[in-house]
Amino acid sequence: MIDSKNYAEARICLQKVPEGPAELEMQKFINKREEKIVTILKMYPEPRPALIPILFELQRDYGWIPPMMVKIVAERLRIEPSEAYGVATFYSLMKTKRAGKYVIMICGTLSCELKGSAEVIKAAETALDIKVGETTKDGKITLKRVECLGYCDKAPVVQIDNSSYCEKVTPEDIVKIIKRLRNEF
Amino acid sequence: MSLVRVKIDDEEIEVPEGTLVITAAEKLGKSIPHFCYHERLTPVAACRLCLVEIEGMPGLQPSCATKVKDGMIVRTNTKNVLDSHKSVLDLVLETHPLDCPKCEATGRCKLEDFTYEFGPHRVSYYRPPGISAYDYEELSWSPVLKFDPNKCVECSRCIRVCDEVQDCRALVASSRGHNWRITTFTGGPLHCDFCGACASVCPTGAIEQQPGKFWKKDWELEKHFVICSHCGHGCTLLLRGWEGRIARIEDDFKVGINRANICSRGRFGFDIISHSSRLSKPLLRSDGKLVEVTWEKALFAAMEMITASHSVIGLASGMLSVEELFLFSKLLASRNGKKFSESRDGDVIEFEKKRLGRYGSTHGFDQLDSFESIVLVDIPVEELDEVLRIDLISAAKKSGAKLFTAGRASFRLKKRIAGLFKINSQTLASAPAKTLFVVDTERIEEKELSAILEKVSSDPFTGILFVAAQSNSRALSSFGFRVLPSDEISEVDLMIAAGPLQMTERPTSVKRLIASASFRNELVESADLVFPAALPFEKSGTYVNSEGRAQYSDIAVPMAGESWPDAVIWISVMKELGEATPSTPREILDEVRNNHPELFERNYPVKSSEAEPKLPSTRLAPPKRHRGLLLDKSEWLRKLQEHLDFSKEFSPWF
Ligand code: SF4
Ligand code: SF4
Ligand code: SF4
Ligand code: FES
Ligand code: FES
Repeated sequence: MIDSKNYAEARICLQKVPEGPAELEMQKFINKREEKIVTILKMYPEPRPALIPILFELQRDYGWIPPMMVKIVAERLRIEPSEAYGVATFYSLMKTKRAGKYVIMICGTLSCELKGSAEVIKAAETALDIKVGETTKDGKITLKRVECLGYCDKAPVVQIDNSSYCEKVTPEDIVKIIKRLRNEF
Repeated sequence: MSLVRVKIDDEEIEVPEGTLVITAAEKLGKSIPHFCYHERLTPVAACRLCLVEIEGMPGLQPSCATKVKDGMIVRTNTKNVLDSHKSVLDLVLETHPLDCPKCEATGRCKLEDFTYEFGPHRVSYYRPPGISAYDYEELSWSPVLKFDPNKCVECSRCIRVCDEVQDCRALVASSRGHNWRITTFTGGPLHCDFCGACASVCPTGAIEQQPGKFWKKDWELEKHFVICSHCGHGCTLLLRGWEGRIARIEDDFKVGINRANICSRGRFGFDIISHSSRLSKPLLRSDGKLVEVTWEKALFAAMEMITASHSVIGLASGMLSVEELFLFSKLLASRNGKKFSESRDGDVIEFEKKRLGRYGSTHGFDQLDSFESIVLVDIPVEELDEVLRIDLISAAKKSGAKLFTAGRASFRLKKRIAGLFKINSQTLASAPAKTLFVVDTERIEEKELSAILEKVSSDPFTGILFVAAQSNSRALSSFGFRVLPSDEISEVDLMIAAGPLQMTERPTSVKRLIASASFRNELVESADLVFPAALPFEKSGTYVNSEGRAQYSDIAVPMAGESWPDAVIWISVMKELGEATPSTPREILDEVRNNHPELFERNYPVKSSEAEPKLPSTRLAPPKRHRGLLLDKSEWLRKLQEHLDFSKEFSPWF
């Protein structure tokens, strides 16, 4: 028989509300971008492949991809929300967690690891006073460890946002980088 | 299909073209370790555990994704192959919590088995202090399923079964590389029907059922095959229990018509038999109150009540077995009693018999893929018969059969529906060739039914499948049970109600009520005499499913308290009344077969079932003895044992 403990556990799980805005708010946000969505949809013979470009488009405006956005877009494209969630989490450039204004991505794959990316990460953690995957309290900087950035000959590699690459980064470099990002605020 | 010869480790075997190397090896009794390969799912060759040497091919090849070719020479036991198994397992064990002593899966875990068989018997990877196994929190996905990410070996079987078989996609893979993880939408609770298929295919203890957790080790559990009693599909369940208690329900791909598909009711609905409101003793009304009495007293009271009544009606449940319905109808016939049931199934089949001269569905579940279009006539498939939904999806995928709805659309099939089909004589006349109509016997209207039957009789390529609501409602028509008219039962002295019923109070026009029931409910409270009845799993019997297939279900657990199967109850009542009645299971079945051959027309197996003969591995433990009955319980069971040989013909597992 299912005992009450299991029910209690399940209830805890059911109560866990995913982070992010409410459905109505998100729906409004997406409705405002209806035109862009339609343009993207027109590029493909069926709705399914439009998932990635639509999520990217919305992320550009919203800053990150909250679960509600995934759900609404998935329903629009007639795929299961869970499937869309799988896609969104697959790409490190899609931010499925609330992210800061700047995202520092440190490569943790083999070449970079051998060249000491672990120390770089540690230095960044101390400088920012957060752990990998977290965002600073002021909401400005997110620190991430990512898979190979395709720039192994200049290991260890750090990428800031979707634009700048920093090569052969030492722990001292990363502290300087962080200072510069902070000064820019 | 042409056969090809392959040589595996110096043994030759002939298999059909297109067979996978791993399947051919399995046929020779060779064990090739595997995680991601599963006989029900498309191969993905992701885990690299099943590598073998194939002459003429470079390196090692995944046997789960390589098809045999004529003259192929395969080696599964060279040092190279065995080393590869060892190192793959070594890599898995690097991060696996070695929790076997406190893991629910121990004993049926594939990682445990393969490591035991192939090594490494000493894990060679060094875990730096502090960085040991994964340390994720265990998640409660639903009241019946839990997930421990640490024990996942990333084989993706659960994702594939949820997508390919269940068509649900509640589980997906998130992230990639080192962070690849099985997840639900945002990692929250599962949004699905909790069919439990993911737990069933999981090779380790990562996805586990919550009920039955830590009750008994796997090897302490007995195995019994039984027929599920929750709907008219007639799925075979593999019941795992000990000392008369049920721990879990498993599926077996090779046994039964359901091809290892079980819905959540079948898989998790087993605890009903130990519900606290089970009746354990006969109840007799005296001074306005129901009091517990002995069986002798109850049977005597029944005899008195029946002989004192001039008009008798019977109300039978569609969940009673063929034998029980037969005996019950015999009892009613001896008192000129009218026969009723709560199901319309009997009426619908009778209607068909009058129109077409045939009985029941024209096609079976295994023939769905021979149709080009399937029309769901106002039938909420997943509510009525969830496994039929899965069958429909697999037919649609396999042969491209198009699904149409007429009337209410089935919610979970929505995405697969190709269009609407309005039923009238014109559309029927121009209906595409090879159309199957799936009909809900409880809801179909006479006009539509007769139009469809017209089409079926005129066109040999059109079929009709009557979906029965209960496990044996298809047999109701044979014994003459008709639906109970809602308001017009005229004054009757006595109503006898047999089996689980939905009726909640006794009709006012009924003076006295005798009921056989398993639970204390409103109907029982309003009865004058109540016999405690055994439930399916506690009794044996033959059940006829929606396709019209008779299947024998075995006893798996002892009867609760002093309850008895309805068969024994009605035999005893008839004996008390001095009526002639067959009294052993074999005599009963003989008589039913002689009088109602139509019930046994579609026996098991019908076609091309690759089921290998299987025997339930353990037999029933001797039950508790009860004194003072017409039949001794152990005597009854001994007779059943003899009867078993005889019932082999319609048991899926013999
Ligand atoms: S999943 Fe298997 S190997 Fe892992 S702890 Fe459980 S029994 Fe042991
Ligand atoms: S219980 Fe069934 S439907 Fe739900 S996730 Fe598992 S396989 Fe999919
Ligand atoms: S949860 Fe089980 S079935 Fe799913 S990928 Fe992990 S080990 Fe395989
Ligand atoms: S390993 Fe870091 S860029 Fe390739
Ligand atoms: S079983 Fe063959 S690669 Fe996994």
